[in-house]
Formats: sequence, C-alpha cells, structure tokens
Amino acid sequence: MSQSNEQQRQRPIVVPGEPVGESRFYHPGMNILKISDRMFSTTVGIVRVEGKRLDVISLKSFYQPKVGDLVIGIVKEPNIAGWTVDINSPFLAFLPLSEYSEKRIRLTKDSIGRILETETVITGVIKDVSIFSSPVITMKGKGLGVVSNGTLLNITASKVPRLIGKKGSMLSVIERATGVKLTVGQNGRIIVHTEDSNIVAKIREVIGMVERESHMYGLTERVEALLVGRKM
Amino acid sequence: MNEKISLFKENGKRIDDRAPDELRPIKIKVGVLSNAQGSAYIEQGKNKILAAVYGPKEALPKHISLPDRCILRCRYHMAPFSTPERKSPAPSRREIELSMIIRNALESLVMTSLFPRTVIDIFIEVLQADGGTRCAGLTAAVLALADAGIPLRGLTAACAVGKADGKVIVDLNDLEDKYGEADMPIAYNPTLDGITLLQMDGIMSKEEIEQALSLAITATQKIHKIQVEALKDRFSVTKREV
Repeated sequence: MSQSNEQQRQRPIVVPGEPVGESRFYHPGMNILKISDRMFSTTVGIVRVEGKRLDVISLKSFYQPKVGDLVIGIVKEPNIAGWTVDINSPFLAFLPLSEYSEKRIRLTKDSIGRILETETVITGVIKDVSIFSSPVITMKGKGLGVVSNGTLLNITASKVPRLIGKKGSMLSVIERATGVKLTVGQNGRIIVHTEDSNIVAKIREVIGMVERESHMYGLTERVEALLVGRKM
Repeated sequence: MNEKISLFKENGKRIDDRAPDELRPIKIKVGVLSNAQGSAYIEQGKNKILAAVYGPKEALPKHISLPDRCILRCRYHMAPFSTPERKSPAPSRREIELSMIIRNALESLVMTSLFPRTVIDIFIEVLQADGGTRCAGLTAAVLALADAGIPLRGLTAACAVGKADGKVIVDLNDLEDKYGEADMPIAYNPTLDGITLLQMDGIMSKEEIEQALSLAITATQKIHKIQVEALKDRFSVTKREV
C-alpha cells in the first residue's frame, strides 16, 4: 500500500499545545485547553466535532471513573468495611460490603478476606464518584459478580468506544466471527468468555489492531477481514 | 579552571564548527521503553538521555497525597558511565537540585488537578553527558509525559544560552559550559508563551541577557518542532505499515 493512500485513510493526529479551533465557532469539550478565544489540545489524539462541540479523543489515556460505567476490577485487599479494587485507573475503587451482594452476610461466620480473595476478578458498576474519596462500585445488578472463568485482556480506556463500535457493531462482528461472548468494561478491561488459546490469540490480535489503528478510516472492515483471514 | 581556552575558531565558528546561534543535531524517539507508561530518548550533540514516566498512580504513603491535585516526583540521574571519569551513582547535590528545578518546570505544564490524590513519577537518566543535560532531559521528560497520555498545557522545550569569548551563544556544549563566561538554561512553552525554567550562572550585561533570551526562544521553538514531529511519528501507523 502506498504511503499517500495510507495518509488519506488516517485521521490527522494533534499533540498537546496544538491549536484545534476557536471558541467563537466551537464549544470546548474533552481534552481541550481554552486560552482567550483559542482552543488547544491537551493530549495526543484526534479531533472530533459534534455539532458545536469540539473534543480531542486521546490515543492513550487513563480511565476516569463515571457513575454508571461497567468496569472489570481486580480485588486488591480487604479492609474493615469492604475491599479495595484495582479498576485500571489512577484511583483505586472501593467495594463496600453492603454492595457485594443482595444476600445478607454474617461477618461472625466469615471473614471479608475469605468472601472475596485478593486477585479475584469482578464485574461491577461505578456507583459514586467524588474528588475527595475513592470511587465506589457495586456488584448488585444483573450480570455483575465474580468472574469465575475466561481470559482477561486489556485495551487503552479511550479506545473502548472504538472496540464496541457504533451501536455495538464492532463487538458484534468479533462475537459473530469467533462465536465467543465478550464483556467489555469501560475501564479498558475485556473478559473473553473462553479459554481456547487460538480464539484468545485471534481476539488479542484484533484488540492490537484497534489500539494501533483507531484513528484510521475503515477499521471495522479491516477487523472483519482479519477475523475471516481475508487480505485487504 | 583558570587556564584560558579559545572557544571560537579564526573563521568565527565555535569549536564544534557551529554558528553562535546554531543548535547541535537533535534526534528524538518517543515510546522507547515498553515497561514504562511513557518514555522518550533524546540525542542532542553527544548527550544521550532517557526519560520514563510512571503514573498517575495512588500516592503512597497516603499522607504525601494532596486532596486537589497530583504530586510530581522527578529524579534526574547521571549514570556512572555518563562522564569521562566515573561518577558516583549516589545522588549528588547537583542532581538533587536539578531534579527539583525540572519538577518545578513541569508542574506548570501538567494538568495536575485532573488526578487528585495521585502521584506521577518522572525518571531522567543521563547515559552520556556533554553539557546542557538538564535542558535535554526536560525536553525528553515532556515527551515521555505526553506519551503516557497525561494531559499537558502544551509541550515545553528547553535550551541553554550563554556567553563565550564575549559572544552570546546557543546550546552550550561541555567545554563552552566549563570555560565560557555565562550559562543560562531556559525552558519555554510556546502555547502559554511563558518561561517555565530560567537559571543563570556567570556574568552578562542587560543587553546580552535580552539578546540571549530572544535567541533561546527561537532555539526552543526549533526544538519544539522536533518534539511535535517525534510525537506524531510515535502515534502514526503510516511508517510502520509501508
């Protein structure tokens, strides 16, 4: 493939400090620094314009917890009122005992450390976010709980929407082609519900492609081609 | 130190054949370390420097954390083999000072309020030193921060200016640094149009300082262009695929 064709397929990348627009035409959105009426990118990313809102979608970023997000966490340690959970973010989350399950827990019979052991993988939803304390997650809800089998993979958090695709298009392409269900956490963790190493390797390859080429046009078609072994 | 060394040749060029306002050749590569969250490597003349960034992560011990912003921790370190004579690997007074001034220069750049109660670790490792390592280290550290995905208020570039044989010069090498009359490292952020680091060692007149400042801003703008190219190159898939 020639370099010029490649460049046409690639959305332009902006870097921190690069001017991306003026506030008389757009409203500043994500990853934008506004100085007087000029707007600059604060991260390496691609510019997205939706109506009058201008965002820079970061090519590499951290997961910033938001209420209602589905996350896949790893239990780090128990403490007196719950568990500290690593949610692939700069902030460790807290899972209170009361948010563990609908069932009543008798601590006289069981210790917190035995109910959920460290390194246990769980799926939960962000219940509360505050700047003063750790984000709180809950395991109460349909489909949430301890993950007992499957393979855990990672992707940059900002690329999760690209992996899911518009109305879940990319995810359904992957699930259809591999015949395996995926649980995608907004925090950039993915559970592949199989332990078949060939399928996991294929999905890992797809995730690598999404990670590298999220700023290029026609990604869904290329992912589909990769999954069916067609050359593009 | 008292011996007089001529730092200019008869043809008006400096000892390494540069014009007074000429930078040394600069080569920058971003994303060189796979284990760090962000990294960069810079070669500026004979300087060879690696920068790596870890974080933001939970600040431990917890009492060091700040409720409204993240903390920056910076370590500038010269490898024992970076100088002509072995340097002790223990942090020297100079290294502690440079770690602090680089941290201060970066604090105005990083959007620390986005990550309260966390810490970002920045490591600058000088592999080979030839004058101006604090500036080259800072230039690389900024790129490592951008590579890690940390939101920044632009890209800061740094360069030393100074005086040798009565002339104002840009990007001093080791000999000019040692035997010149003045040395003034400067970090400049073109987005904010502000200076984030300014030190000075030696004597210069007011006019010379003004001339040096103007030369430093022009030089840092050139370095800034190289930074932008290196960063875009890191995230561009074009070159890898062709």
